[in-house]
Amino acid sequence: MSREYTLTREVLEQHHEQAFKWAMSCCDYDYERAREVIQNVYIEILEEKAVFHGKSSLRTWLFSVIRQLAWQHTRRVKSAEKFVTRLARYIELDKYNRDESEIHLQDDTKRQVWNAIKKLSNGQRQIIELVYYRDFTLAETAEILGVSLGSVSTQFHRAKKLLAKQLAQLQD
Amino acid sequence: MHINETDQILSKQISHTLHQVDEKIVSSDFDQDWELASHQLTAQKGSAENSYVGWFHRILRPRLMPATLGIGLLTGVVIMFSGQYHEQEKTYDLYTPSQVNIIALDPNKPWYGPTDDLLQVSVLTYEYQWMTYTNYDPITMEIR
Repeated sequence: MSREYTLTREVLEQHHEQAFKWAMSCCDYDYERAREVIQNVYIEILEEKAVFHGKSSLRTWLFSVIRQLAWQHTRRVKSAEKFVTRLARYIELDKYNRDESEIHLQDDTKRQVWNAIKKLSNGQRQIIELVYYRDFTLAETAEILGVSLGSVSTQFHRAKKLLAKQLAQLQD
Repeated sequence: MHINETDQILSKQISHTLHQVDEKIVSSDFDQDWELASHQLTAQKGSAENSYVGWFHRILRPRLMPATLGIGLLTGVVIMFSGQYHEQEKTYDLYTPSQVNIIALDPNKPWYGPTDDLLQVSVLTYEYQWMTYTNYDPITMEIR
C-alpha cells in the first residue's frame, strides 16, 4: 500500500525556484503563464488532488505535476488564442500579434547553442534540459514526461544528434 | 574525436547555456504565489457553496436521488402489473386456430379463398385478432 506524504509549505518553498524555472520552460518562457501554472500546482496540492506517495523523489514528482498542468494550461491557452485569432480575422484586424518573451544571451557561443536548442521539438528540448542541466536520469525524465523509458532514450539520442549537427555547422 | 568526448563537450555547452538562461529568469515570489493559490481555493469553495450548482449538489441531489429511485420503482411495478392484466384480457378475446379456419372457409365472407395455405390462415388469424382488439365482430363485420 502506498503512503501519502503531507507536503508542508516550507518543503514546497525550498523547491519553489527550481519548480518555477521548470514551469517557465514548460510554458515557452512565458512568465505569466508559468505563474498561473505554479499557482495551479499549489491549488492541486492544497486540494489534495495531487498527492505525493513517495514512489520517486519529491523533485521528480513535483516536476511531473508541473509538466502535466502546464500541458493542460497550454492546451486551454492555445484554444483561446485560436478563438481570438478567428475573432481578429472576423473584425478585420490585420494581424493578431502575441507577445513572445525572448531570452537574449550576450555570449555568441551560448546564443548559438540556445538557438539550436530552441529549434528542437518541445519534447526533445525538455529531455535535453532535464538530463543535461537538471541532472535527472533518463528513467526520472520518463516519469516526469509521462512517457516510456524507450521513447525518452530514442528522443534523447535524436536530439543530441541534431544539436551536434547544428553546432558543427555553426563552427564550420 | 571520440564519441564520448563529443558527448561531453555537447553536455557542457548545453549545461552552461541553460544555466545562463536559468539565471536570466527571475523566479516569482513563493509567498505571493502560495497566498494567491490559497485565496483562489477559498474563493472556489465559497462560490461553490453559494452558487445554484453548489446548492443543487449539497441540498437537492441527496434528497432527489431516493425520491427518483422510489418513483422509478413504483412506475415499474405499475407497468408490470398492468401488462399482465392486458395479457390476460387478450387471451380471452383470441380465436383459436380452428375457429379461424372455419371463419376463413365461410363462402359468404369477402375474403373467402383457398385455405390450404398455412400462411394465409396465419395472416387471417392476425387480422381477426386485430378486429377483436378493435371491437369488430369478425363474423358479422359490425362493431360490437
